[in-house]
Amino acid sequence: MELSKTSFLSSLAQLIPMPDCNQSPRNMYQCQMGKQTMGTPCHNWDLQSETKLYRLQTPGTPLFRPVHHDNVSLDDFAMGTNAIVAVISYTGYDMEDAMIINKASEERGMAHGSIYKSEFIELEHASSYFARDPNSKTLNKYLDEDGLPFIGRQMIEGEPLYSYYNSDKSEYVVSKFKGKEVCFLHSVKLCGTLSSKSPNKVACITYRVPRNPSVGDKFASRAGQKGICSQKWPAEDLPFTETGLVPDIVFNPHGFPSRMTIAMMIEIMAGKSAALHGLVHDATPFRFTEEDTAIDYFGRLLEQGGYNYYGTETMYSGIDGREMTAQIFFGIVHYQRLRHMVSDKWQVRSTGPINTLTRQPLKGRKRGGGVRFGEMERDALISHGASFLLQDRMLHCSDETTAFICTSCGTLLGPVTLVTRKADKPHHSEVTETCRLCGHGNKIAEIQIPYIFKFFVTQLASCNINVRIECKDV
Amino acid sequence: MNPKELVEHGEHEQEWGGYFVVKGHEKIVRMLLMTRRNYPIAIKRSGWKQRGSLFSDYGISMRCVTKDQTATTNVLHFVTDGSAKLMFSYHKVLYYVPLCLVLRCLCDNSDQYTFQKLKQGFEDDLYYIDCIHNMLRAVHMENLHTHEECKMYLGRMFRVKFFECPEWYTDMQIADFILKKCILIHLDSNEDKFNMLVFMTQKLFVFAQNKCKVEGADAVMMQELLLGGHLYLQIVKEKLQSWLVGLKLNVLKLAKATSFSLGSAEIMKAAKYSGGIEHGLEMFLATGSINSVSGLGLMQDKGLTIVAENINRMRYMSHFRAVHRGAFFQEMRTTEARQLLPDAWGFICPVHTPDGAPCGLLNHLTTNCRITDVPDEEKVRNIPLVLTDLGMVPLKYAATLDVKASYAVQLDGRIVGYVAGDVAGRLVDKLRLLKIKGRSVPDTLEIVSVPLRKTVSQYPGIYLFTGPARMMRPLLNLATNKIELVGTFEQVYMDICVTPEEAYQVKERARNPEPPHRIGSAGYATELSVIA
Repeated sequence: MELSKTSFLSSLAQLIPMPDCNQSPRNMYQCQMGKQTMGTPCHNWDLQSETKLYRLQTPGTPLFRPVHHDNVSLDDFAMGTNAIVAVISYTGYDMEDAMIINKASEERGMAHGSIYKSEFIELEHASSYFARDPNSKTLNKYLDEDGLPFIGRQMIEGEPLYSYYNSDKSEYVVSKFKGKEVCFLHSVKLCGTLSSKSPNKVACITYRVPRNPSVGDKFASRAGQKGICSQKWPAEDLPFTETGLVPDIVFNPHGFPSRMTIAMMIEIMAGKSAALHGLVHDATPFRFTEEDTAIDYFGRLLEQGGYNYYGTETMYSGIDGREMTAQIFFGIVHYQRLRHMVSDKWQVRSTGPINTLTRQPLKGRKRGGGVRFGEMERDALISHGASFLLQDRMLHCSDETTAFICTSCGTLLGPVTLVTRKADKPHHSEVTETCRLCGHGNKIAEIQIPYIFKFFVTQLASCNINVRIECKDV
Repeated sequence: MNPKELVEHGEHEQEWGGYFVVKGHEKIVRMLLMTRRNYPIAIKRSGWKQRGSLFSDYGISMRCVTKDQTATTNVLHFVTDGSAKLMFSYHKVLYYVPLCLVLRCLCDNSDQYTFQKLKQGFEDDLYYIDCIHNMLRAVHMENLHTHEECKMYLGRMFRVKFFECPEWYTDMQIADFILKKCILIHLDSNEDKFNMLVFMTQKLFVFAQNKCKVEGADAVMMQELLLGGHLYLQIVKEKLQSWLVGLKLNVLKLAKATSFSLGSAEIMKAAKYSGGIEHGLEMFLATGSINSVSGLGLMQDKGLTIVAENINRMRYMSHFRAVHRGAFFQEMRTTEARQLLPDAWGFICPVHTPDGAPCGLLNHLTTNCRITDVPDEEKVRNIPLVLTDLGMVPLKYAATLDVKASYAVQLDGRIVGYVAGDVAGRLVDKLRLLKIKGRSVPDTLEIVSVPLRKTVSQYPGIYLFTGPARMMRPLLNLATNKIELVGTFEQVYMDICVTPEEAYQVKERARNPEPPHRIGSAGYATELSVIA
């Protein structure tokens, strides 16, 4: 006989509350999202030098949890917060899996988190050492005597980060802090090494980047219901219950019918009754049956606590104070904050760095590049007839260039610029354009083309293919 | 260290280890799903047709693993002219040898004896008998009449490919080397190899005539894990071997000097130039790739180690329970390798697999699933005796038995004897009791009894496995009310209930010779709402 009904599940799947009440893909999603949650990866923060660590500052233990949660003592490495959730379509900012967070609860510390980033600095010479230039008057504001920054300092880009004595050149060198985000210095460690080969001095500097919830951050309940924070709504404008309770998170009810995550609904009721009676409810699957349902069990508990059997409550609009006609499903859900945050992802560009070969914009967020406007995007604009927009994207904001063309032979490669009279200042020089192929410069015109076209024509020429462009006067 | 000491040293109380620290990163050697060791699997693979002229897609594949975890694969191919060829590989190159040539090389038996052995139990299969006749004759057609002649021939043919053997080796010695290092390497004695090949031949011809079902390497019952330690051992072994070769070359170089006498000083001098093995191991752990001459019986040489990212506890935990099917399958277009088959129940979690490219290939073990360790040698040695006590007829006396109505008993890929069909059930039950007690036989013993059925089904026999790296899970044995470890292959032929109400009564079971095992029956349909 099986030792337990859940022995066929992995330990992550066993941490899902009531997976037997969910549609199967939702459980798989939770298995993935659970692994991306911000939580408490370790307790020895000061000793860590991992390049990136996520930490949730205000974690809470779930009120509705499977036995396995305690078996693996997950409370020691807590992740997620208990949020008061109202299932209501409100303000219109909660469409398509978006969710509204109560601004006041965010300010009180809900889902606050931070990232610990570490950086290793190795001096290139064995005899170099970290030190502050004793003659410098300005550095002591930023650096301690040992040439390393003060712990707890707020770091700003361009400020001195560390200073060392370069024994090769016999001088003090100051390095600047490079980091776009606001962060605080968490710790500085000087590292030793086991090998005798490189006794270079190594310092490990750890920063703490505060990452409190902001619009665009990703959250998820434990039922594979993920959502993006779309607004931080002021508490006074959110709906409130008869007891004056304001939700922390507004969840759109349209998220339920197609996803069929009944476990999350049960969790709303169970969490509410757990908070009411001061209990922690068991969410191990296969404990309830068709005859003895979880809804009935938690419904009766809620009823005993003086709430509605189904977990709904009368709510009042936060905007005008009028009672809402619909009863609102209202309770407590354990929410996980996922590590995908806008601050790591935002990308913006009008003009900026370009590829030297093609003169087209670079890609990649780190390099200040753009997001590719590809073939399908181009097709979309063509189909809309938005030709000026298309020209702006593909030409002006990209690799626009002016080129000379010989309109008589129609080649881009023919025209050459000849300096006829050289003056001291370049703009006083006289230049004439002639076409190498025609031998005269009578019909040379200046046109605007994408640089890549010129590049393409040149490449074709290398394969012995000439490109002839027919020109007409307009 | 105990938790208190761990905390004092700045570690976590719950620190469980199991990883290497390479340049500050926690590196784990990935667990890979491998074909079950020392069991001949009936496989149909279309790619096998391209292996030579007249080759069919039928074959019996066996991944042989020795005690030191060295692994090679042998395949017995069915050739459509009614013969069989044995594939073995050396330094990643595949070679094919006619079956009967190998049989003759292994033991100095007469053709009559070989024929009797192969025929045993299949006296009424005329096609098969015809095939044996032809195969035996084919060897003589090549003018190879005796055991010695066959060995000389084999050695002569393969001499060029086995350049590692010294030149002064005779053809016979090279043949011995091939038989020892390439063919059924898990067996020490040539007689055992002979018997195993006979069994494989019988299975192959039954399979080729569609009288038994294809087994396939994608089912969990035919799989075991490649553990980090075992892989590490392999790499150390190979690095040491190449180090020795280097040492030999250095010694030979030194020996060219006029006055040379081999002493410890000379060896030390040669060793100084041979380098070490640390660097290679460090590279393996840091990059996860291996460069090996033999390929170590793996399908991939990259991505064998991963970083255990510690984003949160869940992520960290699951790294240690993740099993990968192999990067090879990631590129494959077919979905066969990704399917969750019913025999994975209880071993591989149906829920926990990522979306996207590695879906179904990167799986996670269930909470209860554990991996077997190397068993107690003494208990393993005890098994044949216990089996004989319980009614098995050892191979020596097999002639006294009606082989046709009995099951072959295999222990870790070695035929130990036969057991009469009517005794088999009782033998398995009693052996199971002994296994639960775990005193005379290991408690990690996997007892698989594949019954002979009227319908076309898996090739029957009693297969016992004691080796390490198998997946097993604890279950409650209702007869003894004790915990029993059940393996992946074993589970398929057992009756396991989820709740006590589902259990069959013993009497009922006796009446019903083939109770539907619970996989694929009610349990799956009602309990598993999670597997859609």
